[in-house]
Order: sequence, then C-alpha cells, then structure tokens
Amino acid sequence: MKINSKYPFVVILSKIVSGFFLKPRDMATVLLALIRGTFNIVYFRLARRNVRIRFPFFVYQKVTILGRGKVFIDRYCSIHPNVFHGLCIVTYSSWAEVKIGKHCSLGGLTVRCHNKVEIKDRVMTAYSLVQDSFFNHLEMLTSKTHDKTELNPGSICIQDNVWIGSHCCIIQESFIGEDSVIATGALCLGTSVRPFHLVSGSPSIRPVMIEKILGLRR
Amino acid sequence: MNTRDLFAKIRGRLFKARCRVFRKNIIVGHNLMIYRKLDVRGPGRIVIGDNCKVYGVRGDFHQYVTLYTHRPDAFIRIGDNVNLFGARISACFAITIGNAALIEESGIADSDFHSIDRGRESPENEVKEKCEVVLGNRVSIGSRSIIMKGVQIGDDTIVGPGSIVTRTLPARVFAIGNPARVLSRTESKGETIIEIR
Repeated sequence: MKINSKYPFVVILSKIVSGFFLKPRDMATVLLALIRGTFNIVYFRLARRNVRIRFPFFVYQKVTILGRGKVFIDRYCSIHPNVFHGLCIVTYSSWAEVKIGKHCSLGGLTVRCHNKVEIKDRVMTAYSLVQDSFFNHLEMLTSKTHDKTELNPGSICIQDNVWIGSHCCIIQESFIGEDSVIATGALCLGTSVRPFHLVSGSPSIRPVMIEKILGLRR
Repeated sequence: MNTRDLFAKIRGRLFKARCRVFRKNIIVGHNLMIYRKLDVRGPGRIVIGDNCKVYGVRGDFHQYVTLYTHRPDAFIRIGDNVNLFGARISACFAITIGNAALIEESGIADSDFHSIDRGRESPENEVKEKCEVVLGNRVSIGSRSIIMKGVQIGDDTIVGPGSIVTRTLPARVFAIGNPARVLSRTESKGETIIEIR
C-alpha cells in the first residue's frame, strides 16, 4: 500500500499506521531507523557542511562519510546491512561530488570518489564498490610504462532503477543506463551500458538485452 | 611535518624496537611509517625495506595490514619505498615484493591452505618452487584483488581493481578481471572497446 504524497509526514504516518496493525516489531525497527537517520542528518548538517542528506533517511547500518568533497543524498534512502557493511562514501578531493537520488536502497555500498559519482533514483545496491579511478592514491603510482592519463579519474553515472549485484566493482568512467542489472561479481571498467541490459563478467563485455532473456523464458 | 606523519614515524620506530627485542625473526629497515595497525604473526622470517608506509583503508576502520607466516621457514620480503594500503599478506613459503610497489586493499596468499579432498587437510604437492609469489618492482595492485599462489608479476605491471590473479603476468602490462587477463585498450570516440589479448 503506497501513498504518494507531497508531504513526507503523511507518508511516514501511513507507514507507521500500517506497520502497527500488521507487524508491530517491524514498525519499531523502522521507527528506530528513522530516528537514527535523523541523528545522522543533524550530525552532518552541523559538523560537515559539505554533506547534505534530505529527510527522511532510514539507517539500519552504520553510515560513514569522509572527505571534503560534496555529498548529497536525496529523500527516502535506506541503508540496510549487507555483508555487515553499511554505506561508506569517501571523497578524495575537495572538488569531488557524490549525488545519490531518491528511494535508493543502499546496502553495503562503498563509494570512492575523486571526480564525480552520480547515482539516480530507485537504485538497489549490494556489497559493491563504486570507484572513480583505478587507484585511490594515484600520486603514489610509480609504474613507468603506462600513460598516466589513461588512469585519470573519470565520472560515473548510474541511471534510474538500476540493480547493482553483490561483489561487483564499477570503475572509472562508466555509464549505466536505466533499468539495467549488474550481475554478481561483475567488473564494469569504463563500459557504457544501454538501458535495460544485463551486465556480467569480469571484465564485462557484451551486455545482454534483458528482453531477450525474458523472451527465452517463454 | 604533519602531526599524522610524526605519529606514524614514532609508531614505526616503536615497532622496530619491539621487533628487535621480542621478535628477532622480523627485520625492519629505516624510516618505517605506520599510519594504521600493522599486524605481524607467525614463526617465519620477515624483512621490511626502507621508507615503507603502512596505511589502512580510508573509510573502513576494520581493515589493516597483516603479514602472517604459517611455517618457520616461511619468508616475506618487502622492498624499499613500498606503500601498503590495507594489504593482507599470508605466507607458507615465500612472498617477495619488489621496490616502490603500491598495494591497495588486496590479499596475497601463498598457498591454498586446504585440499579439495573431503578431509580438507593441508594440500599435497605444494612446494616452494611452485607456490612462491614474486611481485616485481613498481607493481601496482588495485582494490579488492586477490593474488593466488605461484604467481610472478613482472616489473611495472598494473593489476586493476577487483581482479583475481591466478597466473604469472609479464612485465609492463595492464591486467584485470577474474581470472586476470592482460588487456589492451583502444578508445574510439567515447565508446571504449576493450580487447582481451
């Protein structure tokens, strides 16, 4: 039973009321998560001016946000535990920018941003790594053969309704289209994925159209 | 100098003094800087070179550098100017890391530790010549990668994040994937095409 309302208070009230009738214990955990989320919002508002999280924010597992870059998390995001990890966002430079959209379910996601990471609405994540560059400490790279411009941090854009599987790594300059699915253990290395495709493999090549997979079932 | 660097230097000096008194099997070079916990266990020999830096993983407070040896004749040799960011190194035979390497949040293991038999005992047929791990000079290993037994990585090689290295890699290549394959990239007008050699 979903109530789409402009006022967050009405939505939360409806959730609480339905939970009270169906499962009182779950309602308690939801309320506790909301309170914990509110504490997080207030802490980041006061202590770190570069982090902005919008109410309501449901936190079931620890949230760690480090670094001087800008972080913005939109409404109704929830952090469930996944492989015992909560959300971890680390920005490595002051011009780094991380934007997360509405209604995201962020499990054990680790975001390491040097340049720009944008995650749009309704994205589901698991224990995975979204990293803007190959190496977090590029200045310590001493290998002489490779052209360092190839290893420069890119920007990652993950569109609406993407499902990021477990134990996968999304590295450097990826663009993942709407409704796509990233399989477990995949490695997206500078790939651009078209909308509604399935990405698998390490490194991932040849994303498969999901329509075809659904067609095979019938 | 930063206070952080100062504390790291002090921690390094304390670690070196502790090793000299209590653990004579660990030899530490000059100017070791420890920013997050360095955990060393086991009866084997460990030699750490000069100017090494030991960091943790930024954002995850539970990860630190571990250098474990499982046998008295095991040997870990870390070269000069090596940066370890939460590397987990576990040796049964010998692991050698060259100079100026950069190792991020990955695991290096010298052995399978268990056999595929039902009893899961120590694996047979594991000999030092087959299982030792050698990383060359100026090697860079990305996050969340695993380097398995018997792997020799040449100088100046870059191993990308999330890769699992099962075979020897030559020098001056870029390898990524599970299993790690050498990659040659050609970019054309915004869409990256990756060929696998």
